[in-house]
Amino acid sequence: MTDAPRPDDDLELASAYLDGEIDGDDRARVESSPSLLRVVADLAAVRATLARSVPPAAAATRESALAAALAAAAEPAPTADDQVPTGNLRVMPRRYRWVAMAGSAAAAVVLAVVAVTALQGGGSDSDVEVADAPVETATMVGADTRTAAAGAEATPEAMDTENTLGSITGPATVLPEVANADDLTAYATGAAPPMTTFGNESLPGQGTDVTADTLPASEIAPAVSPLVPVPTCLPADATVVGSVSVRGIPATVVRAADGSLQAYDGDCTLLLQAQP
Amino acid sequence: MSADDAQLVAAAQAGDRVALDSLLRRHYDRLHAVCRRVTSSDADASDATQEAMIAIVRGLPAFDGRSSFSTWSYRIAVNASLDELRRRRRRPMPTSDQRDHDQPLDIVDHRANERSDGLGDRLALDAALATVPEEFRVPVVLRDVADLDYAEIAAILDIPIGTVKSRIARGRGQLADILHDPGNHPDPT
Repeated sequence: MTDAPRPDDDLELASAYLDGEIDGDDRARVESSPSLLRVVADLAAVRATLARSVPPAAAATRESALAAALAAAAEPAPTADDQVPTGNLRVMPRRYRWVAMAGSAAAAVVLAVVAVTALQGGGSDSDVEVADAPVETATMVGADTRTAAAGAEATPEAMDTENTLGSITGPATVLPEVANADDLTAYATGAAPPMTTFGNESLPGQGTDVTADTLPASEIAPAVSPLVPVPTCLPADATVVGSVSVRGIPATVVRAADGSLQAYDGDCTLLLQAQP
Repeated sequence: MSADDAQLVAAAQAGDRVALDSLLRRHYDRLHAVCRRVTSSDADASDATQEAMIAIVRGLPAFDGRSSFSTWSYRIAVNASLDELRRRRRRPMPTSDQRDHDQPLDIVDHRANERSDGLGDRLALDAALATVPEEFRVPVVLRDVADLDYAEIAAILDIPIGTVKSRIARGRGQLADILHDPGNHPDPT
């Protein structure tokens, strides 16, 4: 590695030499210059680093993407705008799909409950709108949100609804709120930190209107939430403990090989750590 | 276009879903690798690759074979990755008010570069790549990850070959500096 700044011309020459995109005169110039050859070596190291360690996608991620693409093939012919593959698609980012799924399910349950209540309570102006609700909404009464969410995910429409985030009307789940190492330790030992509501119209981090006192023990004990996917990029020797919210960021808690507790976000950024 | 690609494209355009599935599977990993390096994030790369796959399917009926399927699909993947990065910038982040509880949020990734395991190396490379401007990062990724030549990269990015050459050089130079001395470069976050 060279320590002195490299002139742009040298950099360009060395880079082109590395790629074999150079003519005979310039090639001879590089090969006769020790300083240029050092730059070539620097850039070759960068190239090797980039090329060797691309983490492959998880098999489930690949299959999900392929299924979504094949589903798109079954959709009606795209418009002229859609035929230009600019990447400006309306497919919901994978990471937010759980919010939409949970939110759609919650909204459906709320609508169904309102419908049942309205039908039992006699006519009113609002009855007209409720009666127009899709039939399948009423069938979801009593179904748990996870089942409803799975149904929502299975339809192409559910995948093509970036705006679904705006239709979510109620809380879908709660995660233990963890703000520091003590909270993290308390969570892992089954103590009761406050809860953060997720699945509301806003993104995670909004509101803390549910307390542990109101929740059954099963929701307080450390557990992996189905709505916080465990990242595939976690340290290999880590043991997953559960799911939390770290100052509003959904996170997966793991116990590292040295016994410390660590909370990672979906990109495996270490948000919080508690020593054993 | 390789003969197999050409056959699969033709069959897929004729409505053969098995051929379409084979075509997508054949190219998924290389497109994901480009998306991963452009976005520096597993999650963003997965989203971008999925969007690229869908865009390929939707655009396939209009694909006329003037460029290779490979070049065309790389272009789609790059656009999907850049779109994903734009979406990432628009995502709401926790504000100082939300974080201002008892003590500051302890982001512990500062030690990533010191770790000797693969995760640390990966995070260091991701952090370095994120520091390089997109206009330099994308040509470097297409060259060093996708192994494309300058002419192909020029076609994908729709820029002159001379510009490709200089951007690759500058991108590599910045990466070399950052990886050599990460402490002297700003954290992109």
